[in-house]
Amino acid sequence: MATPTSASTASAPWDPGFEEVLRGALRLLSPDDVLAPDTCLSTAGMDSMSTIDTLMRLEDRYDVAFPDDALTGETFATPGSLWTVLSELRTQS
Amino acid sequence: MADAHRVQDLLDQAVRAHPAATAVRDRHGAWDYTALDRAAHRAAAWLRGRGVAPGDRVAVRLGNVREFVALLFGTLRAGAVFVPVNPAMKEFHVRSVLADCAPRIALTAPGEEHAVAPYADCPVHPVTDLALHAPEAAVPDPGAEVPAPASAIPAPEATIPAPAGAVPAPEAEAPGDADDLALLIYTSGSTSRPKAVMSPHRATVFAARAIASRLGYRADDVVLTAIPLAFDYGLYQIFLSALAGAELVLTDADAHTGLMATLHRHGVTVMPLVPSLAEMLVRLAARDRRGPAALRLVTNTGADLTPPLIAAVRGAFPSARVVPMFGITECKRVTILEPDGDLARPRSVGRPLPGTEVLILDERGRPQPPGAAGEIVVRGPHVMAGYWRAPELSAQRFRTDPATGERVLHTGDYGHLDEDGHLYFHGRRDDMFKRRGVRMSALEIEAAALDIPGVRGAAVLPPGEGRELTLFAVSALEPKEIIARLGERLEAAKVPPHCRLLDRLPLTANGKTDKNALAAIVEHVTQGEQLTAAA
Repeated sequence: MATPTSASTASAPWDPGFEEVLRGALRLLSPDDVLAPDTCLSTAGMDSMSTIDTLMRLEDRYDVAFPDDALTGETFATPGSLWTVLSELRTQS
Repeated sequence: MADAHRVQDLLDQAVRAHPAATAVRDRHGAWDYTALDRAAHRAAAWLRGRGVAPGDRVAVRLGNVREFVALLFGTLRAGAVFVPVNPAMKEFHVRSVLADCAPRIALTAPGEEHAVAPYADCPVHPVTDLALHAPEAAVPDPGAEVPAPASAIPAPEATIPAPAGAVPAPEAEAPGDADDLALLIYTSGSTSRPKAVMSPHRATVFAARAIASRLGYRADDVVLTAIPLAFDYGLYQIFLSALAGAELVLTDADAHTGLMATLHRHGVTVMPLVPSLAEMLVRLAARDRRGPAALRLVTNTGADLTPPLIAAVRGAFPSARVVPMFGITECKRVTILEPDGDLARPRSVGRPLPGTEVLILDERGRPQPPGAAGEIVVRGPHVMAGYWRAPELSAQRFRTDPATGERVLHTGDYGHLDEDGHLYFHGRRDDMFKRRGVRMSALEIEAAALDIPGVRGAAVLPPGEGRELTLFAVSALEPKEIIARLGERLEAAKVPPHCRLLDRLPLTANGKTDKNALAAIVEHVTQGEQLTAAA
């Protein structure tokens, strides 16, 4: 679990909507815990069902479609990896 | 063929009949039956080299990867007993499993030895130590190479014996008796510690063949196993695929988002489902922009697919026929319904396996007529050999018919048969209870709740210490409304006074509703209320 630091809060590399979607899926992350780029999503409570929830919420919110090769465990490993993939999709569309 | 009674004979037969057909595929690649056969021989030789002797247990903690399959057959060829350990199993249980089965050696995924080593009183190796993917030259007998064109021209029946000589076992195999143990399969269930069902070769092969005769997997089938191989439902997909010469595709839970891509890329035709997996698949199919996948058969056991979920599966995969089944590890499989038989007999789990029998007995052991509920008792060659190192528990459940001397399994599950011998499952003994003098099961209340339009999930917690009968529902409806609608469907005593809404039901590692977690929710809330009252 990531240790809270003010720096990571201030410099979160993603927008608030992304954080809101992720937090909704992380039942083991309390509101006080910081979501860092390298937080392990499965340790924070993301299971395969909530991964699929998250995928669909992100696709809705950002109007993108994750291609097959992005639908891997690596993409959904951390907020950082997921945001990187999502950002690339948004640039393409 | 009919003489094959050892589990590894299934692979021997498959490699003879389908040497160049794809046997097993994971995310890193595929093996044909010849390559799988070699990897299994390599595993057997490596295990023998580490001192593994017939009867020794080999604990294998691996996800759904090809090496699991090679180690399964390799362990059996070494005459040893294969003990799968689910990577999702918590440390607490891993410790008790390892202490209980006392393996001669344990294998894990590379880098995961630490998940086993602290609790294992034996050497622990990463599976990479076996070099199962090493170049063919390292195989003791490379002369067994089968030319690729064999796959392009299907061999007629008469030529099948010919390749048999071309694929000799690289080394002498432990002779092995069909009554020796093949597998120890740990189940959780009603006892506090996991207990292992002892599966002898003969019973395992009988069960696999009996299931195969009902499900009819074909040589051109591609079977996607996304459920863990460490559970018998997943494990038997290996045997069923080998019996048919089909292709087994393996994926792990972390690849579930890619399930539709896997279905399309590999032309998957058969998929075993538990409810959580079915639900994910239906949701993924809804966002998929390709046409429907080529699924022709989906099976279900472990926990029931509810009628709304079956309907959703049919909607998403119009070409798939649905086969509900009922099984417990103690005899592997009890019943299988005809494909799409749920349309004519909703909630039936089907007829007994061929060559086996299901009886419904009352508390005094008297057979019950069709329609009357009682304990489900199973008789046949698929009844396993009891629980490992648990003679008392074994004696309770695995009994001998006083008249015929046959072994009979008292399942502890309740249900009834209809006039045509189709079984309906009511619940575990633990799920049966009395309230206001009326006998009922959690399952019937759950079924009634799921019948209410708008209720997507339901679980019932029986009344217990300091706790009333409680319904947990996944629904947009108000709890009050759900209770009112239940009152239209059930007699008053069976209507829970409390209904709590959840986003989804908590699940155990094998996809069943986690009733302990539900009990914890009730307890937590009750304590909270008391604290509020005291304040």
